[in-house]
Amino acid sequence: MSFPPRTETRDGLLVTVSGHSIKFEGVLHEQNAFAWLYPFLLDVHQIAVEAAMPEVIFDIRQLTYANAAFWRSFALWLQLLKPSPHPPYRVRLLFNPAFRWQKLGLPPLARLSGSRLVIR
Amino acid sequence: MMNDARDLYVELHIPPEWSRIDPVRQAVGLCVAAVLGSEDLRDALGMVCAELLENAIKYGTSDPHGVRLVLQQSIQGNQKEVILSVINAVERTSHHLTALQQRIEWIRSYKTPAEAYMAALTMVYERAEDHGGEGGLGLVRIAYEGGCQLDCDSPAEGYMAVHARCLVPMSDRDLT
Repeated sequence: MSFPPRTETRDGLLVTVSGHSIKFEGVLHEQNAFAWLYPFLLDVHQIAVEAAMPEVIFDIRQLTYANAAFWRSFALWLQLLKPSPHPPYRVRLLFNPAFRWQKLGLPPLARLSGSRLVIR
Repeated sequence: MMNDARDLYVELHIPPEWSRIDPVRQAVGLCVAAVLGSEDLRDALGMVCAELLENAIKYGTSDPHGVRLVLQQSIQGNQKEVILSVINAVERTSHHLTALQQRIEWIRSYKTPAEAYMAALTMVYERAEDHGGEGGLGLVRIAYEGGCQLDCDSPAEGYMAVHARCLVPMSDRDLT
Protein backbone atom coordinates (compact mmCIF):
# COMPACT_ATOMS: atom_id res chain seq x y z
CA MET A 1 0.00 0.00 0.00
CA SER A 2 1.21 3.48 -0.88
CA PHE A 3 0.21 7.04 -0.05
CA PRO A 4 -2.82 8.15 -2.04
CA PRO A 5 -1.18 10.23 -4.81
CA ARG A 6 -1.85 13.94 -4.72
CA THR A 7 -0.38 17.29 -5.61
CA GLU A 8 -1.04 20.46 -3.68
CA THR A 9 0.11 24.01 -4.25
CA ARG A 10 0.38 26.38 -1.30
CA ASP A 11 1.69 29.92 -1.67
CA GLY A 12 5.01 29.16 -3.34
CA LEU A 13 5.19 25.54 -2.21
CA LEU A 14 4.45 22.48 -4.33
CA VAL A 15 3.71 19.32 -2.34
CA THR A 16 3.71 16.01 -4.22
CA VAL A 17 2.78 12.74 -2.54
CA SER A 18 3.19 9.43 -4.34
CA GLY A 19 4.32 5.88 -3.59
CA HIS A 20 6.23 6.06 -0.30
CA SER A 21 7.45 9.59 -1.00
CA ILE A 22 6.66 13.17 -0.12
CA LYS A 23 8.31 15.93 -2.09
CA PHE A 24 8.42 19.64 -1.21
CA GLU A 25 9.53 22.14 -3.84
CA GLY A 26 9.72 25.92 -3.75
CA VAL A 27 9.49 28.02 -0.61
CA LEU A 28 7.69 27.29 2.66
CA HIS A 29 6.98 30.68 4.18
CA GLU A 30 3.29 30.72 4.99
CA GLN A 31 2.01 32.37 8.13
CA ASN A 32 0.92 29.65 10.56
CA ALA A 33 2.48 26.98 8.33
CA PHE A 34 2.59 24.70 11.39
CA ALA A 35 -1.23 24.67 11.44
CA TRP A 36 -1.36 22.67 8.18
CA LEU A 37 2.10 21.10 8.06
CA TYR A 38 2.00 19.22 11.33
CA PRO A 39 -1.46 17.68 10.64
CA PHE A 40 -0.22 16.82 7.14
CA LEU A 41 2.75 14.95 8.64
CA LEU A 42 0.48 13.28 11.19
CA ASP A 43 -1.59 11.91 8.28
CA VAL A 44 1.60 10.70 6.61
CA HIS A 45 2.56 8.96 9.85
CA GLN A 46 -0.81 7.24 10.26
CA ILE A 47 -0.89 5.99 6.68
CA ALA A 48 2.72 4.79 6.88
CA VAL A 49 1.99 2.86 10.08
CA GLU A 50 -1.26 1.34 8.76
CA ALA A 51 0.44 0.33 5.51
CA ALA A 52 3.47 -1.06 7.40
CA MET A 53 5.82 0.96 5.20
CA PRO A 54 9.44 0.28 6.09
CA GLU A 55 10.48 3.73 4.97
CA VAL A 56 9.05 7.11 4.02
CA ILE A 57 11.11 9.21 1.63
CA PHE A 58 11.00 12.96 2.27
CA ASP A 59 12.54 14.89 -0.61
CA ILE A 60 13.40 18.53 0.13
CA ARG A 61 16.16 18.91 -2.46
CA GLN A 62 14.23 21.61 -4.25
CA LEU A 63 12.89 23.35 -1.17
CA THR A 64 14.95 26.52 -1.42
CA TYR A 65 13.85 28.05 1.88
CA ALA A 66 11.61 27.20 4.82
CA ASN A 67 10.74 29.15 7.94
CA ALA A 68 11.03 27.76 11.46
CA ALA A 69 7.61 26.06 11.20
CA PHE A 70 9.28 23.46 9.00
CA TRP A 71 11.82 22.46 11.66
CA ARG A 72 9.21 22.43 14.40
CA SER A 73 6.83 20.22 12.39
CA PHE A 74 9.60 17.91 11.23
CA ALA A 75 10.96 17.48 14.76
CA LEU A 76 7.49 16.61 16.07
CA TRP A 77 6.97 14.10 13.25
CA LEU A 78 10.21 12.34 14.17
CA GLN A 79 9.16 12.48 17.79
CA LEU A 80 6.15 10.30 16.91
CA LEU A 81 8.62 7.52 16.09
CA LYS A 82 10.43 7.85 19.40
CA PRO A 83 8.38 5.85 21.92
CA SER A 84 8.97 2.49 20.30
CA PRO A 85 12.40 0.81 20.47
CA HIS A 86 11.64 -0.48 16.98
CA PRO A 87 10.06 2.43 15.11
CA PRO A 88 7.39 1.36 12.60
CA TYR A 89 9.30 3.01 9.75
CA ARG A 90 12.24 5.28 9.17
CA VAL A 91 12.37 8.59 7.34
CA ARG A 92 14.87 8.88 4.50
CA LEU A 93 15.52 12.53 3.86
CA LEU A 94 16.86 13.64 0.50
CA PHE A 95 18.44 17.05 1.01
CA ASN A 96 20.49 19.60 -0.89
CA PRO A 97 23.68 20.76 0.85
CA ALA A 98 23.83 23.78 -1.46
CA PHE A 99 21.10 25.31 0.70
CA ARG A 100 22.66 26.63 3.87
CA TRP A 101 19.44 26.31 5.87
CA GLN A 102 19.34 22.58 5.10
CA LYS A 103 23.08 21.98 5.52
CA LEU A 104 23.13 23.56 9.00
CA GLY A 105 19.62 22.66 10.11
CA LEU A 106 19.73 18.91 9.54
CA PRO A 107 22.65 17.72 11.69
CA PRO A 108 21.02 18.74 15.01
CA LEU A 109 17.81 16.98 13.99
CA ALA A 110 19.73 13.87 12.96
CA ARG A 111 21.47 13.88 16.35
CA LEU A 112 18.12 13.93 18.14
CA SER A 113 16.38 11.30 16.08
CA GLY A 114 19.12 8.69 15.72
CA SER A 115 18.39 5.82 13.36
CA ARG A 116 14.84 6.99 12.75
CA LEU A 117 16.19 9.55 10.26
CA VAL A 118 18.51 8.66 7.40
CA ILE A 119 19.95 11.65 5.56
CA ARG A 120 21.11 11.40 1.95
CA MET B 1 29.65 61.00 5.70
CA MET B 2 29.86 59.70 2.15
CA ASN B 3 29.86 55.95 1.75
CA ASP B 4 32.48 54.52 -0.56
CA ALA B 5 31.59 52.11 -3.34
CA ARG B 6 32.16 49.06 -1.16
CA ASP B 7 29.73 50.12 1.55
CA LEU B 8 26.36 48.56 2.07
CA TYR B 9 23.36 50.57 3.14
CA VAL B 10 19.79 49.57 2.35
CA GLU B 11 16.70 50.93 4.06
CA LEU B 12 13.21 49.67 3.32
CA HIS B 13 9.79 50.51 4.73
CA ILE B 14 7.57 47.51 4.27
CA PRO B 15 3.81 47.20 4.70
CA PRO B 16 3.22 44.73 7.54
CA GLU B 17 1.84 42.03 5.26
CA TRP B 18 3.04 38.45 5.34
CA SER B 19 3.24 38.26 1.55
CA ARG B 20 6.00 40.94 1.56
CA ILE B 21 8.40 38.83 3.62
CA ASP B 22 9.67 36.47 0.95
CA PRO B 23 10.42 39.13 -1.71
CA VAL B 24 12.33 41.10 0.94
CA ARG B 25 14.23 37.96 2.00
CA GLN B 26 15.32 37.46 -1.59
CA ALA B 27 16.14 41.15 -2.11
CA VAL B 28 18.26 41.35 1.05
CA GLY B 29 20.08 38.17 0.05
CA LEU B 30 20.81 39.54 -3.40
CA CYS B 31 22.10 42.87 -2.00
CA VAL B 32 24.42 40.97 0.33
CA ALA B 33 25.65 38.77 -2.51
CA ALA B 34 26.18 41.80 -4.76
CA VAL B 35 28.23 43.78 -2.24
CA LEU B 36 29.95 41.07 -0.20
CA GLY B 37 30.18 38.36 -2.86
CA SER B 38 29.29 35.50 -0.54
CA GLU B 39 26.53 32.96 -1.19
CA ASP B 40 26.71 31.78 2.40
CA LEU B 41 26.08 35.29 3.70
CA ARG B 42 23.35 35.77 1.11
CA ASP B 43 21.45 32.76 2.45
CA ALA B 44 22.25 33.53 6.09
CA LEU B 45 21.12 37.15 6.04
CA GLY B 46 18.12 36.38 3.83
CA MET B 47 16.93 33.91 6.48
CA VAL B 48 17.69 36.37 9.30
CA CYS B 49 15.67 39.04 7.53
CA ALA B 50 12.69 36.69 7.03
CA GLU B 51 12.67 35.52 10.66
CA LEU B 52 12.89 39.09 12.01
CA LEU B 53 10.14 40.31 9.70
CA GLU B 54 7.92 37.39 10.71
CA ASN B 55 8.31 38.44 14.35
CA ALA B 56 7.71 42.11 13.56
CA ILE B 57 4.50 41.34 11.66
CA LYS B 58 3.25 38.77 14.19
CA TYR B 59 3.83 40.85 17.29
CA GLY B 60 3.82 44.41 15.98
CA THR B 61 1.00 46.87 15.66
CA SER B 62 -0.14 48.99 12.74
CA ASP B 63 2.00 51.97 11.84
CA PRO B 64 1.71 54.28 8.81
CA HIS B 65 5.47 53.94 8.31
CA GLY B 66 5.26 50.15 8.12
CA VAL B 67 8.09 47.93 9.28
CA ARG B 68 11.52 49.51 8.78
CA LEU B 69 14.44 47.34 7.74
CA VAL B 70 18.02 48.61 7.64
CA LEU B 71 20.93 46.59 6.27
CA GLN B 72 24.35 48.17 6.70
CA GLN B 73 27.97 47.40 7.27
CA SER B 74 30.70 49.04 9.27
CA ILE B 75 34.39 48.35 9.76
CA GLN B 76 35.42 46.86 13.10
CA GLY B 77 39.21 46.57 13.22
CA ASN B 78 40.20 44.16 10.49
CA GLN B 79 36.67 42.85 10.08
CA LYS B 80 33.46 44.11 8.58
CA GLU B 81 30.33 44.02 10.68
CA VAL B 82 27.06 43.58 8.83
CA ILE B 83 24.03 44.71 10.82
CA LEU B 84 20.46 43.93 9.89
CA SER B 85 17.91 45.84 11.97
CA VAL B 86 14.14 45.53 11.95
CA ILE B 87 12.16 48.28 13.66
CA ASN B 88 8.43 48.10 14.21
CA ALA B 89 5.67 49.67 16.25
CA VAL B 90 4.34 47.74 19.23
CA GLU B 91 1.41 48.30 21.56
CA ARG B 92 2.55 50.36 24.52
CA THR B 93 1.38 47.57 26.82
CA SER B 94 3.13 44.85 24.81
CA HIS B 95 5.45 42.50 26.70
CA HIS B 96 7.10 41.39 23.48
CA LEU B 97 10.30 43.40 23.97
CA THR B 98 10.81 41.90 27.43
CA ALA B 99 10.10 38.40 26.12
CA LEU B 100 12.57 38.96 23.31
CA GLN B 101 15.27 40.21 25.67
CA GLN B 102 14.75 37.14 27.84
CA ARG B 103 15.02 34.84 24.83
CA ILE B 104 18.24 36.56 23.70
CA GLU B 105 19.68 36.17 27.21
CA TRP B 106 18.70 32.51 27.11
CA ILE B 107 20.58 32.06 23.83
CA ARG B 108 23.64 33.83 25.28
CA SER B 109 23.60 31.54 28.30
CA TYR B 110 24.93 28.75 26.07
CA LYS B 111 28.59 28.50 25.14
CA THR B 112 27.81 28.49 21.44
CA PRO B 113 24.77 29.23 19.24
CA ALA B 114 24.92 25.59 18.10
CA GLU B 115 24.38 24.45 21.69
CA ALA B 116 21.49 26.87 22.12
CA TYR B 117 19.91 25.64 18.89
CA MET B 118 20.28 22.02 19.98
CA ALA B 119 18.64 22.85 23.31
CA ALA B 120 15.75 24.67 21.62
CA LEU B 121 15.20 21.84 19.16
CA THR B 122 15.30 19.29 21.98
CA MET B 123 12.58 21.27 23.78
CA VAL B 124 10.42 21.15 20.66
CA TYR B 125 11.20 17.46 20.19
CA GLU B 126 10.27 16.69 23.77
CA ARG B 127 7.15 18.84 23.38
CA ALA B 128 8.48 21.00 26.18
CA GLU B 129 8.53 24.28 24.30
CA ASP B 130 6.83 27.19 25.99
CA HIS B 131 7.92 30.07 23.81
CA GLY B 132 4.89 30.26 21.52
CA GLY B 133 5.35 30.90 17.80
CA GLU B 134 7.54 28.23 16.31
CA GLY B 135 8.68 26.93 19.67
CA GLY B 136 11.16 29.80 19.92
CA LEU B 137 13.19 28.34 17.06
CA GLY B 138 13.15 31.49 14.92
CA LEU B 139 15.48 33.60 17.08
CA VAL B 140 17.86 30.81 17.96
CA ARG B 141 18.00 29.93 14.29
CA ILE B 142 19.25 33.48 13.60
CA ALA B 143 22.08 32.90 16.04
CA TYR B 144 22.96 29.39 14.82
CA GLU B 145 22.14 29.18 11.11
CA GLY B 146 22.57 32.89 10.56
CA GLY B 147 25.77 33.22 12.59
CA CYS B 148 24.48 36.51 14.04
CA GLN B 149 24.59 38.05 17.47
CA LEU B 150 21.22 39.46 18.50
CA ASP B 151 20.17 42.37 20.61
CA CYS B 152 17.07 44.47 20.91
CA ASP B 153 16.00 47.83 22.29
CA SER B 154 13.31 50.45 22.14
CA PRO B 155 14.47 53.38 19.99
CA ALA B 156 11.34 55.40 20.87
CA GLU B 157 8.22 54.88 22.93
CA GLY B 158 5.94 52.42 21.16
CA TYR B 159 8.72 51.08 18.94
CA MET B 160 11.11 48.18 19.18
CA ALA B 161 14.21 47.32 17.21
CA VAL B 162 15.95 44.00 16.81
CA HIS B 163 19.52 43.99 15.52
CA ALA B 164 21.34 40.98 14.10
CA ARG B 165 25.09 41.47 13.69
CA CYS B 166 27.64 39.28 12.00
CA LEU B 167 31.33 39.73 11.48
CA VAL B 168 32.81 39.16 8.05
CA PRO B 169 36.59 38.89 7.57
CA MET B 170 38.06 41.54 5.28
CA SER B 171 39.13 40.26 1.91
CA ASP B 172 42.46 41.26 0.31
CA ARG B 173 40.46 43.59 -1.92
CA ASP B 174 38.98 45.36 1.12
CA LEU B 175 42.44 45.97 2.51
CA THR B 176 43.87 47.58 -0.62
